[in-house]
Amino acid sequence: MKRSGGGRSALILERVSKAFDGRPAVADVALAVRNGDLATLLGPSGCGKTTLLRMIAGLERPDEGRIELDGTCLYSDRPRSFVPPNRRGIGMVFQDYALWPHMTVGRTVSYPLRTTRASVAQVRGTVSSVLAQVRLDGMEKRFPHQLSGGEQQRVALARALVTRPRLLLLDEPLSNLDAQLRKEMRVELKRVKSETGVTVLHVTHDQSEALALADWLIVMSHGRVEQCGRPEELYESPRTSFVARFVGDANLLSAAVVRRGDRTELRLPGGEILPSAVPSESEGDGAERQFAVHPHDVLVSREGGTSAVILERGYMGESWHYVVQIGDTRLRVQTPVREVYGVGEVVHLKLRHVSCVRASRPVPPSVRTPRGPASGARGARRRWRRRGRRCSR
Amino acid sequence: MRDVVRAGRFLCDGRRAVLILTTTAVLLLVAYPIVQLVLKSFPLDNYLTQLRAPQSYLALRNTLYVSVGITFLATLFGSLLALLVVRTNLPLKRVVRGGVYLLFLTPAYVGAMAWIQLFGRAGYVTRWLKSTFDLVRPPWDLYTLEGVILVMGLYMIPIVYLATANALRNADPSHEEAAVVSGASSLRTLCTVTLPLALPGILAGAFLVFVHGVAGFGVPALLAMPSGHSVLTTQIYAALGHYDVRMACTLSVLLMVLSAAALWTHNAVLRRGRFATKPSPGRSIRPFELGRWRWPITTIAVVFLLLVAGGPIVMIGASSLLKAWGLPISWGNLTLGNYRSIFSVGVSARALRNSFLFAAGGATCAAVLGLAISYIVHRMRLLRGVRLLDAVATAPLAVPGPVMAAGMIFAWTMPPLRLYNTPWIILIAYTAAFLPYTVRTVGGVLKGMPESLEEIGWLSGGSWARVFGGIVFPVIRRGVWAGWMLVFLMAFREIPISTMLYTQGTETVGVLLFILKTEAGGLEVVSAVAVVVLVLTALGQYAVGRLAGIREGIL
Repeated sequence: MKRSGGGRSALILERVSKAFDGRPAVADVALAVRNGDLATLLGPSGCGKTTLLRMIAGLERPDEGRIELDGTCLYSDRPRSFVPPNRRGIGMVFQDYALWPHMTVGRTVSYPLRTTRASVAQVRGTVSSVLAQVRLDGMEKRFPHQLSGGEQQRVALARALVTRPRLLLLDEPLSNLDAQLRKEMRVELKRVKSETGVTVLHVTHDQSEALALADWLIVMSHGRVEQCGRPEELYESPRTSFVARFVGDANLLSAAVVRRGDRTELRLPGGEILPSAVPSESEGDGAERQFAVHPHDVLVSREGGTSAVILERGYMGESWHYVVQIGDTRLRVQTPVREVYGVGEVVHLKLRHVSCVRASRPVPPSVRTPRGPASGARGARRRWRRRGRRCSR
Repeated sequence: MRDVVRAGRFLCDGRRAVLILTTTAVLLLVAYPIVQLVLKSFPLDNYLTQLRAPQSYLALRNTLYVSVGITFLATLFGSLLALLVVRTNLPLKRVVRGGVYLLFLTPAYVGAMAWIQLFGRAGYVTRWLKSTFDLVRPPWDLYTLEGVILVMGLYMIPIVYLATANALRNADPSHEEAAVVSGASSLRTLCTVTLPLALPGILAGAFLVFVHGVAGFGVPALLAMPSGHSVLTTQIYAALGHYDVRMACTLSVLLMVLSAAALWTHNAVLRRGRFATKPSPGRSIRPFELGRWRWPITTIAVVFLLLVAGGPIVMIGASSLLKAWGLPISWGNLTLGNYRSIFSVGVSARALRNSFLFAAGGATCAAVLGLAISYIVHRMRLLRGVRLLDAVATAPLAVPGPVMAAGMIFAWTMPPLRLYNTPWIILIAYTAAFLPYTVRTVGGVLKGMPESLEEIGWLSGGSWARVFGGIVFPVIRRGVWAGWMLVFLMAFREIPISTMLYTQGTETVGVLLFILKTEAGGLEVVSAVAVVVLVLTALGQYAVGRLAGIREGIL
């Protein structure tokens, strides 16, 4: 089992499984999170990541497996043991924050302390220091409906942190915020995490959020862990086609490696040859394999490489995005703003970096449909992505 | 653009006629009788005189006592049962829900008759106890204000149950989960999160019960009047009986004010207390574990409901088959003669026919008028005063039956429209009294219908009448039928209005239930009528449920 970094693991899951009405939601998951790390569970909706989080919180009971936190067993099937959620000492931020509409900020944040035998003065002191930590000083008397979305989120965070939990669980904490606030809260979360040193397990379906936040990234699909590792590791060298597409938004190609002198090339099914840097371990037998290549790793020029035709293009502000065709293969390509090509123009391609991937099970349809209204550059980019995917099949 | 289209539509089509007709009808049917009552209750000295008179003062005090008692009883049991069914791992939930539904189906008046047959002075249980334990006097007296509270309170349980269950079901489960993750035990979560979040629902139900308690006529007339106690409703009935117009009007206005205040509070609680909650789809709420109390609590709940919901119905059913009331219940004493007689013998057959006609007529008038009002309120919003029309049309919610009847008497006895002593006055009273229910049901459906459906019809060149008949009505048809059925059911079993407005030849089922039991017919015949009412109510509620698209019934 691969675990985050080399330090002591705070959270350990072994062969955890859970089925709802016979349909497996989480299947045989094993993972470990190092003390003080921010680990992110990334996956499309319905991949079981939230179920996994809720099992760690104790809100769902696994069918089998073992969950351990700081050396304490929280759940195990053999011998049977189950620590109820209110005894686990875990903080959690819910997706919709779950702020109690009938309680003020002060009462909400002090609630976890009031379930213990803390003295009034102690409670007051802790609450005000936690509120200061999330920058909500002086808001004790407000009710949730008097707060903005970002403030509500911080109240939920304060409530989760007030007992100094061993583990903080974040269930899609940023998905209800607008783009600007989301950026601010990412910074805020990182700051709070480093100030408190708490171990964090964070769930999201947004790959950019995951890449920006995570110390350790766990990608899930269909209830299983596809790959875990440092974010840059997963981005640069995905091991499965799912991870390549979901984390790196990469093109997938079927090709065979051909060696020509000191250079390597990829031979596409139609016989076209693409000059390409190929990782050494995937060289060899000349059999056809699957490769992932990021759009920005396809180098476009007017000469020197394999020729391809530009089918579509889109302007994204910081770059141009194209769909190009070589034989029967279509690729999504990204170039700097200054390099402009017209639709129908013949260009020449080289691949800077590819990774060899193993085929995963097909991506569920929900991944391909973006959630929420797509507008502006973001929406355009999404539409472009989808088009590329469709083409590359 | 939309506004221009809308204003243009308004100016040049049949809707002006609809608006004028509807407003006139609402003013005549609803506003006029209430205004008559208020005018006749003046000058203000009347109120002082009336409140000093012991009779009226006592009636007011008793009304408050009885309503508060009913509210307390219904709220306690209603919210507890809802909590058990919706939020715990109680077994046999279907049985408990069925029991509550049975209470919901039984008219309180029919329930009161059953309680008299069981626990009254000559009731079966009372007699059995007296003979078994050799008692001289029965250990209880049902003919008291407490008796009224007990019987009415039990039959109001479903109101609080429904309100509470709704509030609990709409609560976001993550609120409770957040409490549990914060370290709270189940009991603590229940007390600090679940119940506070459901409180607005419970309170709204409680105030609605209070409104019903204040308006109650049948049960107090049956249980309190014989022993000389009176509440406002029965006092108004008595005052009209000896032509004390001043007293009737003054008490009517008092009763309306009381009822309106409670109704206003109910609405305010509902409006303000609607916390931003949503039923999260797909995620089930984790029920509270009852632990070792699971079976004891189930036993108590089931036995309680079997006794209070099932017992009276069994009693009514049994006594409707008896040759004469009071005979021991055995095979030899059973007969179907009572049913044969109520469908054939003069007054009861007539009453059934009349009730059917009046209820159907009233329901039809109320449905048509409610449809027109809803359309004006939700689709002609440009007009000022539209909200006022809505307010007037729903005002009868705060007008108890006896008050409505009194208003009708004062409004329609003078020329040129002398309707008193004709069948028409009952029809008009039903229309006015039950108009709010069709306005609410139809209005709700119409509000949910996207206006664009209609606007596209307009832009396609349809006339107003064409768009209404071809698009609007087909879409909201089920809502209209549900409203019709609801009014029909209430009117069919209604007692105070027809009791105060009937005359020779226009007797209704309500009159039959109210008057007949003191006459030759006897309790066994009344019981048969009650069974007919019960069966009809059950069938009708089933139809309403189907129309409103509720698969599992209202509970």
